[in-house]
Amino acid sequence: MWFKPAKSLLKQQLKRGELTIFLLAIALAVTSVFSLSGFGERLNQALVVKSSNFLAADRVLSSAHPIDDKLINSSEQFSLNKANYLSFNSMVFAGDEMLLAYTKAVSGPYPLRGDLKISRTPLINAPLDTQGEVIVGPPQQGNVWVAPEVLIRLQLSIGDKLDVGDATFTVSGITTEVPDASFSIFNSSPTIFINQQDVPATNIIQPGSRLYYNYLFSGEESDLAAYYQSIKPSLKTNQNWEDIKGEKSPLANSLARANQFLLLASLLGIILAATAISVTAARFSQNQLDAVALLKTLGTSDSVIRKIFTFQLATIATLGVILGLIAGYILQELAFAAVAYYMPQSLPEQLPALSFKPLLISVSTGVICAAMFSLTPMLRLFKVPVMRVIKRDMQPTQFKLWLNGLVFGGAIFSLLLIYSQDLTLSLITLCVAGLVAAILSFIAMGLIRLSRGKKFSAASPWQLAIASLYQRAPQASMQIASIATAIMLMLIILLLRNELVDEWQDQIPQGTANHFLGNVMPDQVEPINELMAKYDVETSDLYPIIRGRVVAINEDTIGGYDSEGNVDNERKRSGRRGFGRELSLTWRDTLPKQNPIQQGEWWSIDQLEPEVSIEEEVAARLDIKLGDVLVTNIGEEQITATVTSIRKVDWRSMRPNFFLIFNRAALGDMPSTYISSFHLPTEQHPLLNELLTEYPTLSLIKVDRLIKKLREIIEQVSLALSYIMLLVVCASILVLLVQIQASYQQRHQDLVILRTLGAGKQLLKQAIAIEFLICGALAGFTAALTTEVALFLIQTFVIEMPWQPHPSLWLLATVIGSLFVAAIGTRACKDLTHLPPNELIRNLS
Amino acid sequence: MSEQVAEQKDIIIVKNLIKRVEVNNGQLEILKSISLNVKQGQSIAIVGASGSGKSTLLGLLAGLDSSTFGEIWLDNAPLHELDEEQRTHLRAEKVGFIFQSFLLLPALTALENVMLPAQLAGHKDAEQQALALLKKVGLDHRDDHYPNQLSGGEQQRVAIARAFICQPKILFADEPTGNLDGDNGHRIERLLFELNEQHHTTLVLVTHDPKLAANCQRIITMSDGTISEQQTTNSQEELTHVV
Ligand SMILES: Nc1ncnc2c1ncn2[C@@H]1O[C@H](COP(=O)(O)OP(=O)(O)O)[C@@H](O)[C@H]1O
Ligand SMILES: [Mg+2]
Repeated sequence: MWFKPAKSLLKQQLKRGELTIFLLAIALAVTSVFSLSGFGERLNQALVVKSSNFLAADRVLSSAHPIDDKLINSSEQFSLNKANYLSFNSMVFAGDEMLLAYTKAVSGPYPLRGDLKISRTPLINAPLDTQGEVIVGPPQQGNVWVAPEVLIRLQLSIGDKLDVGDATFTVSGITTEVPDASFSIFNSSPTIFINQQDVPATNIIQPGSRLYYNYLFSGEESDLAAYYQSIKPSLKTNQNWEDIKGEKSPLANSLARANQFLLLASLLGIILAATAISVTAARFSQNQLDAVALLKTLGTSDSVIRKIFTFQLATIATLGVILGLIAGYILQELAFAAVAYYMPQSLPEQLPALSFKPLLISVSTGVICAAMFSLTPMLRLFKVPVMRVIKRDMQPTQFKLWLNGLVFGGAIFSLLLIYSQDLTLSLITLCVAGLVAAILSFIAMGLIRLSRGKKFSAASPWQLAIASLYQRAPQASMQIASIATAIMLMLIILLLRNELVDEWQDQIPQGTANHFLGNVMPDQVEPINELMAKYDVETSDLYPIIRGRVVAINEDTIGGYDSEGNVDNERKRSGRRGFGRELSLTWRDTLPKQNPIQQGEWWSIDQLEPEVSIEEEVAARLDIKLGDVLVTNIGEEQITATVTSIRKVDWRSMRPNFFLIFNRAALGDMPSTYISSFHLPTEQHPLLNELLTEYPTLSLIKVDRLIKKLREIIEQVSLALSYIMLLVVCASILVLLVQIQASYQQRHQDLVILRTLGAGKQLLKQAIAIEFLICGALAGFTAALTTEVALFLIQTFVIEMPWQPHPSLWLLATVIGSLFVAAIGTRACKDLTHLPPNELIRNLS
Repeated sequence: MSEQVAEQKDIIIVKNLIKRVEVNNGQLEILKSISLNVKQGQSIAIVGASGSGKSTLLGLLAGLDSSTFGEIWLDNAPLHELDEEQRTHLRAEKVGFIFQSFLLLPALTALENVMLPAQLAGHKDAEQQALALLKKVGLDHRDDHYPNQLSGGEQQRVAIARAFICQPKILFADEPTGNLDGDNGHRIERLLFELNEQHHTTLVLVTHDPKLAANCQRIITMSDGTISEQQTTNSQEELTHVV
């Protein structure tokens, strides 16, 4: 009954190209969502996989007690790879020399991610990290691999004996690269590796000894998640399931930030594509008014009409989705191939595959867009008065603005939510977008109204342009709003991108400290400084390190005392469990760099009362206020100091950072060691050898690898952003074209009338150009305004970066906006000025 | 008076006008060698079946389109030799239009629509003239209304006022009452001829309303791209009436 007419009508419309633009808009939305989410997901996975090297696995389950084998072995059902190591601190002996070492007793194919490199014949004069071969699995029973420092400090060579507990091992190699090497500056013990089967012989495991059981897993993201779900109920509170993102490390931070930024940029792109769809949907239904009126006159029932048009829409939506999926697939493959081509070293060997998630998200985007955006226009279409057949300008009643807004906002919101799965982010984005649209329309309306003065002259292209804008004020303001959104998106991406990259690069500028020096004795400070000077190496301030334990805040003693701290994870664990354990404390006269005071004041040098400055997050967690009194045990002594300032600490910075900093009056007399950080180009390794041979008790930590990784992430994120920018620009051009297309018929008629009445080509060309210039300038200006607001909101609430105004942005946006829109607008309207006026008589009479 | 008419020069001269257009399967000859002279101040109706080529001829005469072959002289200007831009200037100076579907610019008020051709032609007192004309068509109180606030008949009255503002020598009207009901149609008709008389404009009127055609001095019938003129009593009556 309805299918045949529906089919033939659809065929006709496809032929006349009326649906093409609608189809294209849906395809574009699906393309961008698919390629963005696909590309983003894979890039992210690649980053995580690569970064997982720093855990030596995708996930680590750690516990102070052994975990039931059944639980661990059940991971095989999820096709995960596994390995584990037992870790403990113990003294190791070589002859008379001894040293506190961090021992890893390995079982299974450790490391699951990243490379463990062992050198059997270390060359002392070449950079160590270029030596050695990649090894998987533990050393043979009876053998031990040691960190280079161990050899130097204990004056051993390969093949010598080393005692760990009651067992004697042969040094069979030195580690030149360890994937999960500690970056904690307070971990002063070098690492040694033994086979787990040798552990009983050492007799180190005794009741009460401090041990850590670390179970490593790697595999597909979904399998990992499923496995975790299955074991979660059996885990105890002190058993941690960790991934790289959970680490409070500079790397994890950057990863999280990069992810959010990519997400945000994609969200903005999606809004743009959605705008294009909604404009075309409205236009499509407007174009169908005649057809519907005619069908009604011919006695077609409402339900049949509804079916006909629903069929049309569904067909077009399906086509658009399929087209978009194909294009999106190709695009994301290309983008990913580009990353692989330009940055092969930054991708894991096995490229992550595309999951179903992008497919799902993009298909639902297409469906939601098609369904929701055509909802009100279609409802309106069905209400068209039959009389329109006779009186062509009869329009069906317009829906209330708020209803349109509600449907549009609802659709956008569901898109954002589906895509980001982040309620806060979606809400903020939606609110900003809504606010922008409202402000923009309001400003545009007002300006257009104002500029339409009493005196009018058709001979002035300005006045013609303004009259044309005025006539289309509602549409024009919407047009301006969406162009402004496009410009805003570009600006935000551009600015955020710059700021993000800048900030990252600030964080790791050239010459950033890549070595930490710990355990420096007071009498070594001078000679070490001289040695550094000899090699022309700049060092950070030296921080005295005093181990201590906070035992009371005001009168309250601190509960939750936890004795089994692992120095390696000190910062994290102490953060979680309060101050139950020993902390690394320091004292200073001056406020360290990048430690802005949030509350209170830094002390003066001559302050005689003991004072302490506390890190903001810990203060909040333990509810410590200015004026509170902290009682700290240091050795036998007890220090009572008043909290006089609360600091912010940038944990990502490659500097020594502390929860508690005391003043000279509090800790100045305490015996202490010192730590420092410095930058060393790789070719200056002789210094390290000299340092370690002359001062064997020093501990040295290299953070080169981490810094390199951070740079890689920045590069990749920049590349991803360039790609997103490209898509956003494409989407914004489409929105612009769609808008122009929507006003094309009316413009056509207006211009032909003007031509007929004797308006010269030049005049009309100018009028069109001016109209778009004004549009673009308005859009650019308002875009600048809203960009500032949006940047402020985003930086303050989403990605937590300091905000500052961008004065040049205003000029730039206005100029770029007007040129951009005028260029595209006049191009799109080029045909119009070439029309022969006789068209008028043929088409309109 | 009849002598005077006889003395009038030909303001429109058409010689062997042919218009062909490309269509899917070859060429279509819409106008087949048309020759026609119209004297200044004359009113001439072109009637004929739909599709016979009336609008095409009107478009060519008004310089909206270019012919395939033949000559058109408009007030001594060789239209067939002018390019598009020159024809536009000529139109601005000498030609007025009224269309079936009014074709007012929706962006402009009634007054501005009327002023438009005068402003395009660079006249200084466009506003006063426009107000005077709006008064003549009885719409001076609606001068700041936009077309969508006016009825069809009112819009066509605005269009008539617009057609006369430049004191055009020739007025082309393509089915000016075609979109209007009887009463409004008559009113427009009356206005058109009244103003035409006052301004001594040459009127070329396309219509398929015989009654409307009967108001003109000459009636030309078009069929299938050719014309034939009937020297009606109407034109005689008209002449006598004028005398
Ligand atoms: N550019 C063109 N292309 C194809 N056919 C045309 C074109 N212009 C006019 N025609 C055809 O020429 C014939 C005359 O048209 P027209 O002058 O509009 O007729 P009338 O105004 O008498 O109804 C019509 O059949 C029309 O379809
Ligand atoms: Mg016609």
